Amino acid sequence: MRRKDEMENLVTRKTPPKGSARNGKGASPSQTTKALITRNLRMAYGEVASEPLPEEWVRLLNQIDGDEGKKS
Amino acid sequence: MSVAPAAFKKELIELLPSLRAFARSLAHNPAQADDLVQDTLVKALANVDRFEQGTNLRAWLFTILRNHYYSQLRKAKREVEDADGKFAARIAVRPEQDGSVDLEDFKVAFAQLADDHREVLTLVGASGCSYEEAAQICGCAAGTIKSRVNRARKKLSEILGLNEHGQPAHGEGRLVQDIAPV
Repeated sequence: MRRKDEMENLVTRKTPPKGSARNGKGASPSQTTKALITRNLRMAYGEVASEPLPEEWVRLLNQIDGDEGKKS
Repeated sequence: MSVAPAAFKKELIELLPSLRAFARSLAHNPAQADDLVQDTLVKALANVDRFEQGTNLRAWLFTILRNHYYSQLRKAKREVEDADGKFAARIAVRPEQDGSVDLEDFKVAFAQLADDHREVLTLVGASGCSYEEAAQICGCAAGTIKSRVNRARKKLSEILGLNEHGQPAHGEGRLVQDIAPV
């Protein structure tokens, strides 16, 4: 049998407000925040991706043709 | 070479910008990032016989770069830091602003994230990797990537001081909301 104070706690315990779990510490960012982050990520990414390639990389890539030429 | 050289080179060239952006997200320093890419290229070309045509070249390259980065970190036995955001401030020429988003603020905040958070956001959020592909690159389960992406977004929104509507929660936030609430 439950004690009286335990029963009172069960009866008077308030249910958490709707949506409170999502606003807690473990909540996921909203779709709007996710979209904002994704947009900025892609902008930052696009900046780097649009930079010209260093000459040294081009030289390295051209080795692929050279290596193949030596084999054939 | 077990792959056609011309096709391999073509795909490699196409992947270089995203490889560079991935390196930039990890390295915190443009010069170090470019060194990482160059070392990755050298390793990839030296081990091209191990790459099988038809498999995922992007995952292969990103994995080489990532392993190399963490190997360097372990050797140095110290974490790369950018506490004052100097890297983020010089990461690239400021783009033309459309008056809607302060990208520089975003970069400063992004630079404050942990390595594993930066890498998953770049892989999944920017370069278009699937969770499975990112998992392959990072050597973990897709579920781990999903939860890591979620935590990274949450941390980033906290650093940016965004509320649940993607707007600055306190004071005069400099990040301007430009996406209509869903």
